[in-house]
This record gives sequence, structure tokens and C-alpha cells, in this order.
Amino acid sequence: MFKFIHAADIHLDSPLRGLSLYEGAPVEAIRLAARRALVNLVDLAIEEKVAFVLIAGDLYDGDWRDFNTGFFFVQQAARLREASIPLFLIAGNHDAANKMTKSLRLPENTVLFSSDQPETKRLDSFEVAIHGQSFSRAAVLEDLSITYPHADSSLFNIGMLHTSAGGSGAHERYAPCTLEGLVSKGYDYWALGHIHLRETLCEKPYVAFSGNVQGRHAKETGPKGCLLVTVEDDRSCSAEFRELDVLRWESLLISVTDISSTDCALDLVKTELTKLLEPSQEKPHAIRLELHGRTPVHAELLARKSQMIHDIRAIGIDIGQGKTWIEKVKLSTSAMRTRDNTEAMDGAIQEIELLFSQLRSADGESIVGQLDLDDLLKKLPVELQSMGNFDAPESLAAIVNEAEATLHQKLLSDGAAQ
Amino acid sequence: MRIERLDLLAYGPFTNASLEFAHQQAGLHLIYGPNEAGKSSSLRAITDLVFGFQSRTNDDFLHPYSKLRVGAKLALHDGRTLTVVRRKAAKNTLRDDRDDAAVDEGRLQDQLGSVDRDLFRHMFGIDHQSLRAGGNEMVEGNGRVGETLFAAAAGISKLRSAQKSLLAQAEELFKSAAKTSKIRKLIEEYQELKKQQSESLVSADVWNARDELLKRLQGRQVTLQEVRLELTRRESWIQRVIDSSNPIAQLKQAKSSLEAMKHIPVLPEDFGTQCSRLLDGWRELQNKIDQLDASLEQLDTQVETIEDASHWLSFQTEIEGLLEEFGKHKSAMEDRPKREGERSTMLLRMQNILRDLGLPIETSNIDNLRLPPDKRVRIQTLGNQREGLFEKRQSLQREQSTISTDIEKALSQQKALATTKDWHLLEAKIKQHRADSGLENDLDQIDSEIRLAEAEVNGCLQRLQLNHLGMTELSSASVISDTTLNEFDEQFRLLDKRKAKLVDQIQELESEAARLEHELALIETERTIPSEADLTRLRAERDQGWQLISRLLADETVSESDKQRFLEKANSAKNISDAFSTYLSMTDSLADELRWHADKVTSKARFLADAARNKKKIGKLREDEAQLIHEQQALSSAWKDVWLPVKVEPKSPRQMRDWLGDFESLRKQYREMTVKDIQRTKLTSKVKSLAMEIQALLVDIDANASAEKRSLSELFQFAEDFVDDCIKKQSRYMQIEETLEQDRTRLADCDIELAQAKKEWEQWQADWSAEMQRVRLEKDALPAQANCVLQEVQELFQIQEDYQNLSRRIDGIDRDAADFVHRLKSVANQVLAPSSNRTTEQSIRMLRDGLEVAVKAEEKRKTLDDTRKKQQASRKEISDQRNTIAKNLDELCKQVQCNEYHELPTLVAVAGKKSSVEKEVAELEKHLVTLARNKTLDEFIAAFDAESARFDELPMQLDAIHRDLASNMDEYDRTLQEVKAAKDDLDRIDGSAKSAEIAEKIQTVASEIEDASRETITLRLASSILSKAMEKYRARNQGPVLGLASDYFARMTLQNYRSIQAEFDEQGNPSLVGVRRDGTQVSVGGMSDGTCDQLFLALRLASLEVWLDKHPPIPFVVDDILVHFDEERAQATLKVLHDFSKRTQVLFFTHHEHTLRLAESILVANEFQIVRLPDRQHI
Repeated sequence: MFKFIHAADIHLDSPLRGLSLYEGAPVEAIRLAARRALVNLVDLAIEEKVAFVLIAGDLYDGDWRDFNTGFFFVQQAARLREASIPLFLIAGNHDAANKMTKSLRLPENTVLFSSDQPETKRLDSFEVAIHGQSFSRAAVLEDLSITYPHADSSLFNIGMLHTSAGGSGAHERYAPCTLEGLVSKGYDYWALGHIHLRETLCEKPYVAFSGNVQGRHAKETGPKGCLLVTVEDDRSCSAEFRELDVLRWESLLISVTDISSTDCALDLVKTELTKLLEPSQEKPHAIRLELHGRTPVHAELLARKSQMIHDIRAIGIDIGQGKTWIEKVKLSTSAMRTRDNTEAMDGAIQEIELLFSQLRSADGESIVGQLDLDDLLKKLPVELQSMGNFDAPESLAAIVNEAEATLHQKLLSDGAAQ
Repeated sequence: MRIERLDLLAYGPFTNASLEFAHQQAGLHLIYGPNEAGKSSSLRAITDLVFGFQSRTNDDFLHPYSKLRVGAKLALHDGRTLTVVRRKAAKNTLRDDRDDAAVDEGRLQDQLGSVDRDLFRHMFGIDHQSLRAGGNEMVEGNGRVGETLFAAAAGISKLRSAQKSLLAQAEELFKSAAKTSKIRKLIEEYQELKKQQSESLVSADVWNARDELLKRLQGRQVTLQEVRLELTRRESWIQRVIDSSNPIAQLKQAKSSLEAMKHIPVLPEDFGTQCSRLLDGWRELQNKIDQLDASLEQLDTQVETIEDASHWLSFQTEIEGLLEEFGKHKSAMEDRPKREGERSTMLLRMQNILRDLGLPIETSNIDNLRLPPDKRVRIQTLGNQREGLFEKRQSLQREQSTISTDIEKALSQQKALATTKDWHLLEAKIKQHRADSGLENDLDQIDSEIRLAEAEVNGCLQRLQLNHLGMTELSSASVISDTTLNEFDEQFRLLDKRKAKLVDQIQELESEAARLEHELALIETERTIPSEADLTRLRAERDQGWQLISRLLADETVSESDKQRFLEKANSAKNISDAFSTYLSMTDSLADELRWHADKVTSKARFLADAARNKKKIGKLREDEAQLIHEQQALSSAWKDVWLPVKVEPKSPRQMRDWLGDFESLRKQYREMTVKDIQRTKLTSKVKSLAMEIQALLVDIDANASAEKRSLSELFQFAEDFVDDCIKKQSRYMQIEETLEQDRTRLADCDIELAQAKKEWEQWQADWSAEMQRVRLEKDALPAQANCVLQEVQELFQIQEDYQNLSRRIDGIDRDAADFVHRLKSVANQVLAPSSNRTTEQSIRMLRDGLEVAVKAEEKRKTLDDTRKKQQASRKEISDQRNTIAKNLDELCKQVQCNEYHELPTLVAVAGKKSSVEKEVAELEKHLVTLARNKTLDEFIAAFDAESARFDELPMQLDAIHRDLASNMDEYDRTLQEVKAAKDDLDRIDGSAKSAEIAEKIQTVASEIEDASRETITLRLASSILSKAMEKYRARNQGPVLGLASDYFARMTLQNYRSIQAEFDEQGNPSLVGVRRDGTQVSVGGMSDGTCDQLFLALRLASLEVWLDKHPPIPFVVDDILVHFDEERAQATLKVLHDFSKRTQVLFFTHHEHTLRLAESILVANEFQIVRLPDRQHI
């Protein structure tokens, strides 16, 4: 019986995204999260006395150029060497794009598979054969698994592959392959990388994405880590997920239908946050919070938006014991009664509502055209110009809603008039 | 929708209050409530009713959140009615009329269309602040049409501020030109961080370059090391060749001398040392043996000289024993005479005692005196008892007499304490009424209070001019009520106010008249300006003349008087035609003059007209004033009439309010006084009856205890003291009785004990007499006497015993002395020559001296013997050692083949010389082997011999090598430093997280930029939409709204303005202007504040009316908007509102009674309704 670790997509030193600073935000909690997750990985390997560690691609972030990052990795690999644990790497799309992959001298316990053709490494003491091939360039579009050798039936066979498998979605479609293709090789375990969401494609043989070790933005939610695989003497194996992340991303969708006041909304937020944080109270969290639903206090919520955000962040600080970062607060509520477009729109305020209603059904380009954002965009650094995706339909819809709420608040809430 | 009834069930200050809005077409309702009456609460109640309570409300100060209720009866636009109650809760807040079932919110919302709470508050609500704010905004915005129409339609009074604030906020976030805007600052920070990051990061290329450099430098380092090694090798060889030239020569020489000594035997290395050590040892030991032999001989001679003492020593023990006993013998002989003396003294004493006891002095009689011990004890015991028995009898007799005396005394005391009658009844009474003992004080207190109150009431009556009222009439006297007084006060105040206003108006008109007069005077300073009237008058007179002439021409009769009157008027004319022509020219010149001075004429005409109107107005006002004075008088007389019943001359209602207050407190005082009087009567009778009761009880117990004429408290005190006395006496009697009982018991005990004591005494006397006979004393001898005799006898026996002991001791001494002397003589005769003449002392001395000499001689002989034995043993040991060494020496001699020990040293020296040459050869070879390094010695010497041909060149070669080595070292050091620097450079890439941390900061700033950009876009969009909405609204509604508003505005301004128009201003923007009656245009900036307010109100009403054209009605809630309007315009506005109320219900809240009166003055009764908020005390 022996154990090994299957991890992937470390993206070392890639910073967490979307966290705007605010008073009381747990700045320390997000520091060097990817590095600390890697340290956790090495700690786990040593503690579990694993036979070897597999990293199925994307150790680095593609456009990251600091050689210090490579050295940090070498230091961690050296810790594994001290514990006599071999480390097997394949280069993923990000690694292929990164010069460091070629320049960095790896410790003797670390093996980087060739990108020319599939290679097989044998570990005689465990009767294991590991097959793998690195990406030679960022965009590998052919199915690499086809040329992988067939299993050596006297050994436990592991295939390492950086692939988008059959899926598409948010990840680039690189080195696509089919489950049947993988199974046909007769391997016992396929350690896949590239897709950041953990997923087991098949249990016999075991084919799985371990997901990334640390969520990097609001869309990479939930526990992140690696698979600790136990191989029994009869070559059957089982995988257990182990957390490695140092900061957990969560998305909290709270329905505020039927509440009677903004205070009730805050109470709900408090309850939901407590529920979310309770099982893993110790771990810092970055949370995107969204209030939705038709509610009688829709207008009041929007009118007090900045106060609400402030209050919710304060609740986060309180419940999260200073370790929770409220990344964004989205107010996607709607009024109990929306105005009927067919209604006679002959009042002044109705004129505003009509215009907003027209905006909602207009195409993005015409809205952007109306806004005249050239002066702003011109000043923004090039790489940030597309950052907010302001012209994306979802983004525009949110902006239109917010603009309407802002105007409503300016014109009609207390202090604006009577 | 229309509100028919508003139920303020539990809201703000209201509890179960209702406001009924009487049914009219739609209706104008003036809801009046003074300050604090809850006007604002009722206003809020309408919004809360329609849209539900907000999460926070301030209207819960009386009713808690859960109890808040507001209800209404509503007339719906489909003709039905709906009665609902709104409660504050999370769900189902709209309830049916009995508040027990939810009502579908939709039923209410159907009535409102798209109007929500905010819209309702703005569109359908207006107060004077928002009206004024709307007016101000309009002026600030130069009356821009779009803005103004939009603000009026939405009821937003701060539209411009909102628009400005949106733009300002957006610019605060981002302004292309402003570096201080938030986004610009963030971008700067972002770029700075980027710069830092690029400085801090180390790329793979940099790393590779540094790595290459290091490798190159390390290669050079290795090469230099190799060159140096070769040079060092050569240097070392040459140096060794030079260094070995001397040793090789020496070696060769030593080897040849060794050849010459090859016959000399080789001795062990330590042979010489061993040889000299053995020889030295042998000699030393031989010397020691010789010395010991001489010493032994000397000792033998000394022993022979010592005398023999064996005879003396055989008696040593006996002699020493005698010498020891001699001391004891001597002291016993000295002691014996003393003991003899003591014995004689004892004999004398015994004889004396016998004499004292009256017996013969022979000591042989002593034994007859011996008394058995039990008898002696018995006599002592009896003697001791005597005193006790005697004392006991005496003390019992004394006690018996004391107790008897005590009993007699107690009996006589008891007799003196005669018991009194039963006093318990009295005691109970006192307890029962103890609390009432202070009644007299209360009585005094009330008495003085009543007297004081009477004086005060009388004083008050005097002050209030009510002397004619007796005290008793005071309570029944009727005075006027507060309400009446308030009514009169209000009427007086109103009249005063009206009068003041009239006076102001008159003064104003009079000063206007003065001004007009002054203006007229100014116009006519140069000449009198004719008026149209003058011309008309002149023309009339001219026409009269023409009529006369035409009548004359028609031959009609003309009266002379008419003719004469006409001529008189034209005073210079002689006849009618002249007069007519005079008039004709006068009228012409007057007409000319009028034409020439047309402007002045017009002015004058206007001034005159104004003056006339002014005068008329003053006249009217004077009339009003007279009327007002009349009203005041009527009111004063009514006021006085009201006061007639109490016969008081009233002052002003305000003063009389104080009077009423005083009167009320007087009445109160009087009531209190009456109550106190009743209390006083009750108290007096209570005191009297209580005193009598106690007095009767006292007399009953003790006829002498009369306490008449005492006050109640004194009586209580007396009775209490009396009862206390009785209690004390009884307790004393009981105490004595108890003592008596104890004494009697004690007396009986005493009698028994005394009889017993007497019996014991007699028994003792009998025993004592018997014992006294035994010791030859009288039977009544005292115990002391008996004791004395017993002691004497005892002492006698003691002395007798001591005397016998002493006699035995003296005999022993004598026996011991004889024995000693005998033994001494025997020993002396054996040791010394036998002699009978020697005294004991002499014998002893001679024996002692002789023994001493013998012992000393024996000791000396023993010492010499010991010394000889030791020296003999030592000689044997040394002799053995010498023999061993001799054996070794013999062995050495055998080795070098010699016979005598003294030949050995020479042979050793020759063998040593050979060995040192051998050593030299070995040393040299060793040295040369070192220099030869990896060559054998022979190879080395051969190589040396080969080099020796060029031996002289070697130093020069060495110098050259040294130079090469120095330069190699310099270069090597340099390279080493470069390697270190390159290595440091590479080591600096150590996995540091600096760059990664900056990247994290960059992400945070980027995220902030994104947030701020999004906010900027949002604000810009909001602002842009607002501008568009304004323009669109204007385009759609300008025509109808301005048309309606013009009408309203003209009516509100009493037709001072005829309409409102949109005109382009200097910047080319369409702006609102008011058009005066005469067609002149006035911009909003040129209008007074009040007019602006009216313009904005007109626009608001017009916008609403346009809206109502397409929507079902919703009540319009107005809050005291007329406060800044003058009376006439206020009236006009009320009229406008009335007309507007035909479109939708108007709820006009006010706290000015004046507004109600204005409405009453301008509207007829069925055109409006006044609803009063319930009085606060009735809420």
C-alpha cells in the first residue's frame, strides 16, 4: 500500500483578483495565497509520507516573469527531496508560455516530462509507471493522449495530462481528449490538470481533475486543494480530497423577498454569513454577496446602497473575526411592482423610467455610445481598459439598474424634496 | 380615489380619532389644527395608510409599533367604497374595517396606478418649504423651461442640486483634466506599482546571463589554479636541489668514517648508562656496611657498665602496695581523737533529756520509754481533730441566731407592703388609647391652621373686590368659564389686530397721499398744469355759451340770468359772442397746453386719480375703523355684562384670566378650611370623653388619686405613673416572700447540724483522756503538750543510735592500724637488713628510695638492647643489596670481556663514538628523503648529480618562477572576487516574494479602479438620463402645461400677469417669462419671491391637471402653502385650489385660523369644508 498526491494548477504567485481595499479588510489573509497553498501541499506530502507527488500542469502563471517564483518552487521541491519524495511535473499551457520552465534547474527529485513525446518514468520500489507529456507551446490543440503508450500490466500505471478533456466553458480548449480514449490506455489512474473545478470523470480507472489549490477570484468558490490517492496492494485505488487553500472564495446569494426593512436584510445577511462561516470559522474567506428577489424595501436598499455595503462589510468583520473579505455586495433586488410599460408614461418621473426601460432593451453598443467613455478609457492603463467588461450585457444591466437607483435616490428620497 | 374618512386609530398623538371629509364633488378640505395638534402626524398618516408603514417611524411615541393603526374609508373610482385599516407589521398590513382579515393590497394599488410612495409624496404633496425651494431653484436656473416643467411635474424642488451633485460626484471620481480625481490618483498609484514591480522582478534571461557569467568565471579560476600548481612544482624542485647540496656532501663523508670503525662492537644503547649506575650503587652500599659494624661494637661496651637490680624488682609489687596504704593509715590516725570527742558529747545529751523527762539518767532506762507507733499516731490524730470540732460547734450556733433575726426582719417588711385594688382595667384603657394622647396637639394645630386660612381667605376676598361676598356665599358664587374668557380674549385680540392693521393701512395710505401731493407739487412747480377736467369744464361752459347763442339764433328766448351768468364767467367780455370767442380761445389754448404738456398732464391726471382713490380708500378705512371701535365698545360692554353676577368690574380678559385663577385658588382654600373645621369639632369631643373615662377608673382604684383639671396628656401620664407604682409594689412583696421561704429551710438544717456537732465533741474528750494517761500527762492536757513529750522521746532514741554507731567506727580504726604496721615490718626485714628499731616512717622512706634506683637502671638496659637489634637488621638488608649489584656488574664485565669493574667506563666511550656517526648518516638520509619527495634517495642523488652541472643557473630560474607565481596569484584573487560577486548576484534570486506582493497590490488597486470606473459610468448615465428625461418631458407637455399654468398664474397674481411664455434667453435656451397685463415680459429673476412661488405653484397644479387628464384622481395634500402669500393673492389661490379640487380631492392642512377666515371670505359655504383636528386633551 502506498499513497501519492495529485495536484494541478498551482499558478504560483498569481495574485487574487477583484479585491478592493476597504477599512478592516483582512489584507494579511490574501498575502501570497498561492505560495502558502503550495507550502501546504508540501507539508501534507511530508506528513502523509506519500510515495511521490504529481503536479498536472500550470505550476506558473503564463505571463509571470519573476524568476524568484521559480526559486520559491525549487525551495519547496527541495523540502520534498529532504523527505525523499519524488516530484513529477508536466508543463501546462501557462508553463509552456513561461520562460522559467526551461531555464530553472530543478532539484534531482523533480522530473519534468518532455514536451517532444510521451515519456514513462518507473518507480521500481512502488512498482509504478508514470506516463506524461508536457505542453511544448501555450496552445496545444491536438489530443496528446493518443500517443501515450499502453499500460505496463505488471505495474500500477498513472497518466499525467494537462487537458480541457471534453469540456469547454471558462477554460481554453487545449489538448482535448475523450474519456474513452483515456480509459483505452489501460492505466489505473489519470491525473488531469487545467480545469480549476475539481471533478471525478470516472472511478474505475480513476480519472480526475484535482482542481486548483487556491481559488483566485470570485468565480473559483469552495474548498480548493489536491487529491490524496491511496493505492492498495491489489492496485485498487481511492482518492480523498484534502484542502490546501489559505483563503476560501464563496458566493452568497440571499433572497430578501418578503422582508419589511433594511434592518431585516442585514439580519438575514448576518444569519447567512454565520451559517456559511461556521463550519470553517478558522479559514479566511473572500465572499461575494448578492441580495436578490422582489422586495418591498427595494427602493430603500438601493437608496442606502453605500451604507448597506458598509454595514454588510462591518458584519463580515464581526462574524469573520477580521478574517472575512466581503469582495463585492450586489444588490440585484427588484421592486414588488414593476411599472407596466404599456401604462401611460406622461409624468416627469415616468419619463425617466421610460428611458431606463428603453436602455434595458437596447443593445450594449448604443448604451456605451451614449455614455461617451472615451475620456475615461483613454486614461486607463491599456490592460485595464477591458477589465470591467463594462460593455458586457450583464455588466451594462447592472450599471443601468444602479444608475436608476442612484437617480431615484437623488430625486425622490428624503432630503431631495419634501 | 378620494378619502371620505381618515381614522387615526392609534397613530402619533391620536387614539381613535376620525376626520370626516364631507362628500362633495371632489372637494377642498381645510384641515385645521394649531401647533402640536398633530397636523404633521395626520399628513404622514395618509402616506402610511396608502403605502404601508415604513420600517422606522417616529409616530410610535404613544402607541408601540405593534399597535400602530391608521384607517380610512375610501371612495374608489369605480364608485364603490373601501374601508381599510393599515397596521405596522411584516406582512398582511392592509386589513379590513374590523382589522381582522387581510385585504388584497392590489385593491388599493389599482387606485394609484404607477404612483408609488416616493412619487406620491412628491407629486401629490406640497408644503411651503418645497414651494419656496422650487421657486428659488427656478430663479437660480433662470427659469429654464425643461428643468422647471420637470421639477414642477415631479414635485421635486431640488432638481438642479440633484443634477449638480451627480456631475460633481462623477467628476470627483474622474475628470480628464483633474489629476486629483480619484481614478486619476488610482491610475498613478497603479503605474507606480507597475514600475516597482518591473524593477523588482528578475526575468529568466537575466538569470541565464548571470548564470553564464558565473560559469565562465569559475572556468578561469580553475585554469589559473592549474598554472600555479605547475609553477609551484618547478619552484619546489629547484629549491630542493639547492637545499640538498650540503647534506649530500656530509653524507658522503660520514659514510667513509663509519667504514673505518667497523671492528668496534656495537653495544646496546643504554650500556654506558647502566654500567655507571651499577658502579655507583655498589660503592655506596659498601660504605654503609662499614659504618654499621663500628656502631654495633660501641653499643656492646655500654651494656656491660649497667648494675643488676633484680632483687629489688622482685619485691616491687609489695613495696608499691605499702607505699599506697601508708597515706590512708596516716589520715586514720589523725581522725581518731575527733571521733572520741563526738561520742562523749552524745552521752551528755542523752543524760540531759532523761533528766528533762524526770527519769533517772542511766541510759539503760531509755528502752522503757519506747511507745508503739500506732499509739503515737492516734495521739497526733486526736490532737489535730480538737480544733475542728470545737470551731464547728461554735459557728453553727452563730448561724442559727443570724437566720432567726433575718426572718423577723422580713416579716415586718412584708407587713408594710399592703396590696392595693385591681388596676388592670386602668392599664388596659391606657394601652388602648395611648395613641390618642397627642389629640390635643392635633387640635391646637388644626385650630391655628383654621385661623390662618380665615385671615387669608378674607384678604383674598378683599383683593378680588369680593368683599360683598360672605365666606359661605363663596362656594356658590358663579363666575364665567374658561371657554367664555378665551372666546372674549380671542375676540379682543382679533379686534386689536384688525385695528392695528387698519391703522397701519391708514398710515400707509396717508403717506401715499402725502407722496402724491408732493409729486403734484413737483409737476406744478413752474406752472399750473391743466387737467382734462379743466378742459371738459371749460368746454362745458363754452358749450353753454353756444347753446345760448344757438337759442338766440333760433330766436328762442334766453333768460337774462343765464346770459348774465355766462358773461360773468368770461369776465372780460361785453357780450355773448365775445364771451363765446373768449371761451373758444381759452379752450383751444387749454387744449394746446394739454397737448404740449401731455406727459405732465397724464402724470398729474394719474396722480390726481390716485389721490382720489387713495382718499376714498382712507375714507373706507376710517369707516372700518369707526365700525371697529364700535365693535370694541360692544364687546367691552358684553364683557362687563358677563361679570355682573359677581359684581366685579372686569379688566382685560388676559388680566381676568389671572383673576379667575386667584378666585379658583380662593375657593379651593375655603373648601379646605371647611374640611378642617369639621375635623376640629370631632377631635374636641373625642378628647373630652376620653379624659372622663380615665378619671373614673383612677378614682375607683384609689379615692385619693383624683386628677381633675389635668389636660389629657397629663392625665395619661398620671395614670401611667400610678399603674407603674402598683406593679412595682407587687413585685417587691413577691420577692420578700421568696426570701422568707429560703430562710426558714436554712434554720431547720442548722438545728440538726448543731446537735450532731455536740455529740462528736463529747466522744473526742473521752478518747483524749485515755491517751494522755499513757504519756504521763493530765487528761485535759493540750495537744501541743502531748506533741512536745513525743518529740523529746523521739530525739532520745535517735541520739542513742548515733552513739552506738560511732563506738563501732573507733574500734575499726584501731584494728586497721595494727595490721598495717605488722605487714610493713615483714617486707622491710626481707629487703633491707633486719632491724627492730626502724620507725614506720623510716621503713617507708628507705623502701621508696631503693625501689626508685632499681627501676631506672632496668629502663636504660632495655633501651640499649633495642638499638643493637635494629642496627643488626639494617646491616643484613644492605649487604643483600650490594651482593645483587655485584652480580649485575659481573655480567657486564663478561659482555665486554674484562675482569675488573674499573675497566668498564673506557670501553663504553669508544662504542659511543661509532654510534653517533651512524646517527648522523641516518639524519642526513632522512633529510634528503624529505627533499627527494616521490623519488628514492638513490634516484634523487643521481638526479642531483645530473643537475649539479648547471647548478649556478638555478637561483636565476627560481627568481623567474617567483615572478610568474606572484602574477598568477593576483589574477586568481581578482577572479575569485568576480566569482563571488556573480554568485551573490545569482544568490539574490532567492525566491523572494517582493514582486508577487506588488502584483497583489496592483490587483487591489486595479479592482478599486474598476469599482470607481463603474461608479463614474453609473453617475454619468444617471445624469444623462435625467437631462434627456427633462427634455422629453418638456417637448411633450410644454404646450398644455404652460396654457393651464398661465391661467392659474394670472388668477393667483390677481391678473397682474396675464400669462407665462417660453422665450429664448441670452444663451439661446428656452426660459420661462411672465407676461404682464400690459404685455411686458418679466423673467423669473425679475419676479418677487412671492410671485415666483405662485408661478411654481401654478406650474405644479397645471402639470398635475395634465396628468389627471389621463389618470384616475389621487388626493392632493397641501401643507400650509399660503404663509408667504399676501391676503388677496392667498384668497385668489384658495379660489384656484377650490377650482382644482373639482379635478381631485384637495386636503389643505393649516395651523392658521386666518387661512380659514380667508377661505370663508372668498368661498361660499358649500365650496369647501373645514375639518378641525381633535383638541389635544380629547385625543
